[in-house]
Amino acid sequence: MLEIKELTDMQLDFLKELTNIGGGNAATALSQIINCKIQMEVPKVAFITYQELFSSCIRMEEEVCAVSIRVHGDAPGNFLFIIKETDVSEFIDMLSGVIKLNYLSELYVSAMQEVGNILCSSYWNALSRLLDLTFLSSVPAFVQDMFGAIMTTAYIESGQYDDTLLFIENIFKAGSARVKAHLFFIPLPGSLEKIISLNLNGGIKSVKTCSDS
Amino acid sequence: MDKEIMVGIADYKVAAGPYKIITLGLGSCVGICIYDIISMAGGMAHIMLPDSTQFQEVTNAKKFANLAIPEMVSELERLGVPKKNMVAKIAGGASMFRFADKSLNMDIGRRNVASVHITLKQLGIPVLAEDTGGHAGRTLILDLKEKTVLVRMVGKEIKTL
Repeated sequence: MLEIKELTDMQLDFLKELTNIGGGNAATALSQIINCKIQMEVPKVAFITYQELFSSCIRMEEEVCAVSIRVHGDAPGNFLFIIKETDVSEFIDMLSGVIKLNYLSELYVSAMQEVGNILCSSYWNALSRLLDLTFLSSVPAFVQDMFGAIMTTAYIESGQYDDTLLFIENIFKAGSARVKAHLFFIPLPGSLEKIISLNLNGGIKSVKTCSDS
Repeated sequence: MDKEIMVGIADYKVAAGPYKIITLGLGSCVGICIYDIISMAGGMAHIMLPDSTQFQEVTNAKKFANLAIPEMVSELERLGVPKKNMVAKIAGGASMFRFADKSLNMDIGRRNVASVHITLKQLGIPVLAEDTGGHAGRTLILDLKEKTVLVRMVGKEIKTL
């Protein structure tokens, strides 16, 4: 279980800034892949309940396509790239261009996994340089199912068993904002503490240096 | 129309009457329906974890198979259902993520199902039917009037347990 139950405004800002940097890098990568402008919403970082998660984010029974990647290394966790089923065909058209990929075909699943892989890698590349931490990512797993079943399982498998969950989300909008892609990071117990302790030991300075350069 | 009662994650609800008790999006969680074979009383629990004894402090008993089920059974008894009339049907306990590297696949779903079986056996409540395991999420509906349990899955026909 997470030892930290709430965050100070400063810690929250720090985490939001990290999510912004990771997400920004991932958005740039996605924009290059699909050759399309990506808008990124202000990242959300908060402690919320399951009820709040499903009322504020995506409905529990909504069908989604999800790519899950395990992040190992200094601050392990689960990384999820999720698109609603209603948006996914348009997204895959943007991705594949002239080639038509059939929904849930082998090639389609493989393409989605690869996008998840690239987003996760670019997200953590930016953060590992900034925080001087090592991150390794697993081979992605693809699942198409109810959002609720995916998220609850992801949180439980990440060892977050409390009534409140640490919610970290980036939302990307592509193709005149019609297609929405969600990125979630679910830290394993200990990871959050590690990242926050970096902040207290002068991590803020390195954020500043990085944005200057 | 029959009234619907929603059961959230790590929660249970009991009712007596022509109600439908529903829980959405069971992944590795398990839904347990226990109902009276004679009257229209019954309940549903949505558990997340198998065993509370592995935790030092338990803030919400409804999260755990070994605590939520006995609690729900006592509530049913308070509603006037004798334990000998209770039967159970369960669903859930899937393994949602299939990583190519098998060592990354966790078996929380399977452990949840095992713990539910043990708890029900200790209580002496027979499991009449189950739809557990696999790799897909489930929505579970207990119809107290018809005494049926329905399982809804993405892209599949509704299954009656």
